[in-house]
Amino acid sequence: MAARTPSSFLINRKTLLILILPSLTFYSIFFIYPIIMNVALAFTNRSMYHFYEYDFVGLANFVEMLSSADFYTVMGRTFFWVVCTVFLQIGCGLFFALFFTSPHLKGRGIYRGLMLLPWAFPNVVMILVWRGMFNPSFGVINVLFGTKINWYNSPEYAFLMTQVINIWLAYPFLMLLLTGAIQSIPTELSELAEMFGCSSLQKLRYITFPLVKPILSYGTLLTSGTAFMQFPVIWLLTRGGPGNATDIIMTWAYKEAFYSQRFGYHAAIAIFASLISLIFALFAIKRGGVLEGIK
Amino acid sequence: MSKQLKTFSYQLIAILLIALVGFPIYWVIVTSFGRPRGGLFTAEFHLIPKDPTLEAYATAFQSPLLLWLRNSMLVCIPTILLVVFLAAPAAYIISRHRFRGRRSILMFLITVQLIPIMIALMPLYLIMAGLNLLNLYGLVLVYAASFLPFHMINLKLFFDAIPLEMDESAYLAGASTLQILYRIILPLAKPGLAVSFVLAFMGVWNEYILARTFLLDSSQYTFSVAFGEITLYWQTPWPVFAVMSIISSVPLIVVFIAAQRYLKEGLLRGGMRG
Repeated sequence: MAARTPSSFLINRKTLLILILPSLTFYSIFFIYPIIMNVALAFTNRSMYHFYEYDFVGLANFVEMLSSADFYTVMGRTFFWVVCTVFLQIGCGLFFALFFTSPHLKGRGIYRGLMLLPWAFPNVVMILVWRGMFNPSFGVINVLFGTKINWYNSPEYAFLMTQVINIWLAYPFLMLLLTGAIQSIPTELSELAEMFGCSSLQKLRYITFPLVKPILSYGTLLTSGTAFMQFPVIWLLTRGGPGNATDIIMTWAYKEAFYSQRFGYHAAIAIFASLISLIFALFAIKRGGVLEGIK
Repeated sequence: MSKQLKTFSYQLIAILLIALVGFPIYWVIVTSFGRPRGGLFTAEFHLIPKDPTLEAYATAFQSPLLLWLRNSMLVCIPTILLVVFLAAPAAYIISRHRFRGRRSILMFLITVQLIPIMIALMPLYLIMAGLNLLNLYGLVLVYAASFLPFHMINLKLFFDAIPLEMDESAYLAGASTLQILYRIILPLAKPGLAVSFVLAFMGVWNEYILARTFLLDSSQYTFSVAFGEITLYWQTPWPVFAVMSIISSVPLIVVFIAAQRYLKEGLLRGGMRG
């Protein structure tokens, strides 16, 4: 649809509102209203013990959060978690996408289909399956490697385990995304490069990479967003344990709401986390031009 | 390196990689043929099933497995219908008309997808408890709302690709806006609807945190919540759990294969939350 801009002769203002308002209203009731409610709650001491009679406490929840040692540990770990996840997931996704589109690989279409298999199984189910495989006493991982590692009792091993599982769950998405990008590179370009005697590494550096970069940065944005918001992987594997040693911000916030049942304090943490996401998202949208793509 | 050697090593690496990432799936299948005895702590693993039996399959179907899958379906289908029903008209307007606030709405729809659900979780719990909706119906409403922005953008992008002449000729033939949308645009945007359908299906099928929070009664559990509970608190033998894993994956695999060719396109158009 080239130069023509849609005109408004097709519709009057009333019809426009009738068509657009239901969805926005629905969304506001079930998503925006709760967020506003949470912002209000963050300034109160509402909890299980003060369920009906709660008071306005000003910034007390935020002050408590910022002065608790847990907060800094959890934030540091969340940052580390996001960096590791992005690095490993993008790395695997990119490597798999490059390898399984390589012209040297015969039958690559079938291989690609097989590599996407993890995506066809429900996340929650596979997380639980992995949990069985990592079981210290009978898990197949310890049996295969002949080790006796207790994956759940040591913070370092628990972190390693969650990362392995997280990569396994997420790489198909990135692989699919990047495969699409790599396949859309015109073959003439790489043929031309070969004629001029470029090595495969040079082709990768000067042709593939620059052309895949926009999709790569979009993938990085999505991966960091989902890594920051990750919940089920940690929750189903370790419950943030041992102790709080693998808690990231989302599991920590969840525990405050539904275990400690301190709703006000939970709201403060959730708002802080959301602000970080929001700032990051706006920055990425501005810089990455995500909005330009959809006009 | 000779050409044959290169071809051979590529094949070898490909097969090794697939063996590596496919191992958990293989493990589930092998385990499902084991004997369902002795609770969670006595599973053994043999690369080739030793003395395979279908006992675990029989046991699994005596459990509430089918009830949990039915619950998941009861959430899945209405959620998809509600999302498309709500998103399509708005997406159509945003695609076809230039009005004040349009760009802000677009910006808003993208930004909200990057806000963690955690910020709405606990108030939603309190609201739904107040409305007596801590059940499958409430879950449908919450899912539909949280998926809505993605599907509005998704459908809008597919509508954008349909030539405006379609609308105009229908308009000149006397069709109303709703008729244009339902008779002309939606049938032409079938690939977009397919993408929405699959991603919403996957979204519900994979969702855990909302379901875990909102479903209190074990007869209402969707399979993801139920599986979390049985592996933690019930003495479900691993072979039985393996069978359950396989059965619960079947609907997703069917949908996934049926729509695989639409998926890549949908992903490249950009999306966040199922």
